[in-house]
Amino acid sequence: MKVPWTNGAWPVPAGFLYAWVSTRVPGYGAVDVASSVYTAAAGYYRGDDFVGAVDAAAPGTWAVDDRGQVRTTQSSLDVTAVDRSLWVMGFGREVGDVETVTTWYAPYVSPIIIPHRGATWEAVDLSRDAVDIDTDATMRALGDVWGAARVWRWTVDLDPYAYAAFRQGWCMRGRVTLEGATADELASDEPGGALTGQVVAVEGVAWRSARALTQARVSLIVVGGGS
Amino acid sequence: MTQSTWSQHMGYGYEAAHALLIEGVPLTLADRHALRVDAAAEPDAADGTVLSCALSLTDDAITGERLERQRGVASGRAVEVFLAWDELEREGLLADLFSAPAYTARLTTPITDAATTTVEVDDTTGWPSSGTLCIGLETMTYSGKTSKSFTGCTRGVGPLGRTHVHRADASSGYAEVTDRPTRWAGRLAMMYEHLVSPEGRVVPDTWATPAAGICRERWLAVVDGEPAYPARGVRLRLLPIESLLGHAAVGGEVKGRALTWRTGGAGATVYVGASDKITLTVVHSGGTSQSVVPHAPHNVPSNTLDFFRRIVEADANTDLSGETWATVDPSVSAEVVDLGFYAELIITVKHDGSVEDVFATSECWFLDPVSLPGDRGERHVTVRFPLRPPGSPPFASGWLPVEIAPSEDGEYPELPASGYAVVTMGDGQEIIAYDDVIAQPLYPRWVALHVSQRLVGTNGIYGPRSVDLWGSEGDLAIVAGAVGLVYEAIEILLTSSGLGDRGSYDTAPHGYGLGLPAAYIDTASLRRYPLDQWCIVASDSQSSVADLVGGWLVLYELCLVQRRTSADTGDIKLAVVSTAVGAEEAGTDLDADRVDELSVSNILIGSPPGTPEPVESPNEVRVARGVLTLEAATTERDPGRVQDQGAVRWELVAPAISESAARDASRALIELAAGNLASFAVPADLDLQAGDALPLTAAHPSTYDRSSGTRAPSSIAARVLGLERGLVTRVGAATTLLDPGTTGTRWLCPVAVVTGKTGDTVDVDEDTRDTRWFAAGEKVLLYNPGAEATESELLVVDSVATDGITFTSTPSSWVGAGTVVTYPGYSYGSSRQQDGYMYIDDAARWR
Repeated sequence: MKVPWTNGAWPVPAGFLYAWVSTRVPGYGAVDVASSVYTAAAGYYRGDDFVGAVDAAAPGTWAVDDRGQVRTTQSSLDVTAVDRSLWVMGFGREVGDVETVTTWYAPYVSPIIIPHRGATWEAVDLSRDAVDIDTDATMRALGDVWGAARVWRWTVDLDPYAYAAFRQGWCMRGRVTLEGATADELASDEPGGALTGQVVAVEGVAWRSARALTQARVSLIVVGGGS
Repeated sequence: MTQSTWSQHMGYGYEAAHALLIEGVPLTLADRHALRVDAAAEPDAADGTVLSCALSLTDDAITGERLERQRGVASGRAVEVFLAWDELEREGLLADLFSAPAYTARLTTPITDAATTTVEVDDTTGWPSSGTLCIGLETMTYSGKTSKSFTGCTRGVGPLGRTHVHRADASSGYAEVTDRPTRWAGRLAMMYEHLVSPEGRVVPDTWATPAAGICRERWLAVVDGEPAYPARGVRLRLLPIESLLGHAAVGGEVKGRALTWRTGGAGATVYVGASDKITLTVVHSGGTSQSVVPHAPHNVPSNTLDFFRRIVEADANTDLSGETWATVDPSVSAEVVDLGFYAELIITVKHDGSVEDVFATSECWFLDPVSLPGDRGERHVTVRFPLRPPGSPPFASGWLPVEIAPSEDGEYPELPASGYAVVTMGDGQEIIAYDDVIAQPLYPRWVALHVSQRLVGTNGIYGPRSVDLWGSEGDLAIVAGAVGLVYEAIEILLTSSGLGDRGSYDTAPHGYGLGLPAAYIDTASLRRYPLDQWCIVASDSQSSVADLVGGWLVLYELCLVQRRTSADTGDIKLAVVSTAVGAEEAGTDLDADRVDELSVSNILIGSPPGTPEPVESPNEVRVARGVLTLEAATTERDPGRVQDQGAVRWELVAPAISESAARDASRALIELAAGNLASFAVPADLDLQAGDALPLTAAHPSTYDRSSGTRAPSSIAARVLGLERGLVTRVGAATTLLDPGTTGTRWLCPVAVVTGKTGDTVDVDEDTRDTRWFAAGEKVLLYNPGAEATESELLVVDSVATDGITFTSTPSSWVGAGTVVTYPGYSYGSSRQQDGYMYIDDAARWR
């Protein structure tokens, strides 16, 4: 679902839900500009940092604006998708697609940089709160098994186009970061800071309006997020 | 914690797709339609196959291996997979795979050679001029045909393709030649896992083709039974490859039947007339110096000649009539007949030029220099041929007559052309090796085995004693199994196919092994443990690999299990791992990225550990050491525990293990202190395997360190005895054996009493078997009781025999009868001595 707003003028989000992407795994991190392939340095990047890693490796400019839209600026060059990098940045291009570019705005919300309308989080008491975390295929654990686990429930409100990006999966598994008022890590002196953890379950999705489907409320169970 | 590349990728939020390859079936069965990360296309099928996305796995599909400490072979879970009807139909594969064959023929000539490229059948009418054919589990392509054969065959094609022996007389359908697979049970199957990105894109570009960190072998299995056809699709049941070791038969119905050893006893009667001539025909022990001329005796029936086709006739027809009785002595009659120790004698009596009697078809074998007794002029001469091989190895070759016992159907089995046989006489038993068999077409109950070696693998260690005088009735059985070092025997059992194309240990005949490719055997792991002892895995009936070698493995706390030998590509192999708690063995074939601890961060939240279960060690171990009919066993027990607890007995079979080795290993098992099993759920990205040794660093409340009395110790040694993991859910359950934290039983320091001395060697009464406590390279203390102050010295053992100990230097003059040999001061002791035997602190004294 393309974002129905003017390029560079997407609604201002309350924050971002980031997925992390490893460029060590084949398939993510390379772009072809003017028939030369450029590959981001090996690393495990938060969504916006992934764009930064591409920017550091490839010609021109690759950047995310404060609304979450990715854009690239080239000197009227051909940009070719050689893997899924363009796709995860929101350009919606399949491998082999070519775009002649001066300034190119991603028409989709990047599935690794998802703007949200608001988010809350709360600690889950495993001994009292029924949480189904046994069904996720990539469940992993950080924390103590027998009672000291740091398990959180994140509730994130998403616009439909942002929810479409969420459904692509990058924020449903692996490491995610929930950014609030600031990008700094959540701390006692940074109450609006960012939380990072591993998703162990997508607890549910509820539409704020079942008829209009205007906003989705996503509930994630995350381990290790928060302190 | 270190992690493999695959494990790291899984930690990034990737998941796994699966693909299955089945032996000889030209399909890659993938569990989904999915595009690649590097192209808007699906991954390619594995080389030589067609892609089908009909594979369906459910949450119930859980693979698991568990080390069996009392069996030596791991057990595992069965997995049912489905091939969806709709998908197979859409792909046009349903009829190709799961319908009656369009063309059939019947094999008319057995295929017993991997190089065979022509398949002879009854009729090829209707078959295409070239194409694919299936026999049993093997798929072949052929490039041409005649009316009764397929030519230009390429054997063992398709994934996991193996060649197989094919019998033309098989009644079960295995002699049927078809254009599509008709037999599924027994086919090998390999499950592969492939990295899939969070958005559902497959990372590798080819299914079922290992690539570092993105595609690896997941599980080696065997198809159990024929397909079932429930509503949702074709159902195949897969068993882990270990199941073959526990259930499959090794040895055929005709192989290993007990054969009767006939010695001839009273000998033969030779009728010699006054003008008769006797021909001495010699099968000699080889060598080129003997002046013998191959000769076909006149009028000897050709079948008899064939029976003794290796026989050469001496260049003489000795006239034994009248006054010419002579002692045949090789030293003086070499030009006539050489009766070397290992020669055999055929006596042919000619009456007036015609052959009347041919002896020695069953009575005459290993011969000492033979004289022909009897009074001169007598017409009846009794010739005795004592069965007297020399008393000590090595032996040269010789022919051994065997009267075959018929099988249940009354037929006489065809013996393997070479192999091993067990000869049992009374309480004696030994293994012979033979390298040739001569069959007698007219008398199928008689064959001659060409013995190439006696007392195989024994060198004096195999008891109770060898058959040192073959003079009485005995039994002979062809070994269904293997003879050699234990690890060699395991490889022989696992790989032997009857075709010899599975590697250097594919040596046993068809039906004597599992025929697994050598690539599936982790040979390094077999050689890592004390499996370098001689063993005889023999059976006169069908047996499993677990039956034949499991006892050896249990004795040394080992177990055969399938394992990844590469964390990034899988490379699944059958490996031997220890079942004991302890550090990982040196040289383990896992890369440096393997999981090196089980910590808090890789025990799953929300899954409380299972209740710890105690593990009990035996207090009595009985080891059956005999082969086949010979009953020989050692029993070690801990009398105190037996009295207090009742017997906790392990009964093990380790044929041909030496008595001392059996006792040592049995004691080690009894010494095992009870431990605890603790189970944990582990996450998808933890590359754990059954057999891993690693510390549990979770400070888990269900653990207890008995050695220090610590609850929830921060670190405690553990061994992963079992691991189950869902193919779909990927959640794992690990069962770990925790260090009991106790000190094993220690033994009193042994002694041996010297009975004499020769040079650097002291003699010890062989019957006491006391030299077995000492080993080459170790220091020992020699002293004379009552005179220790002056008559005491340390020496280094050079070698140990059953009746003496040889040192690297000459013992002092006071060493003689009555001198005691024992362990040295503790600080001089070897680690073996220090670990296993009682001592008094640091006072350098053993008790």
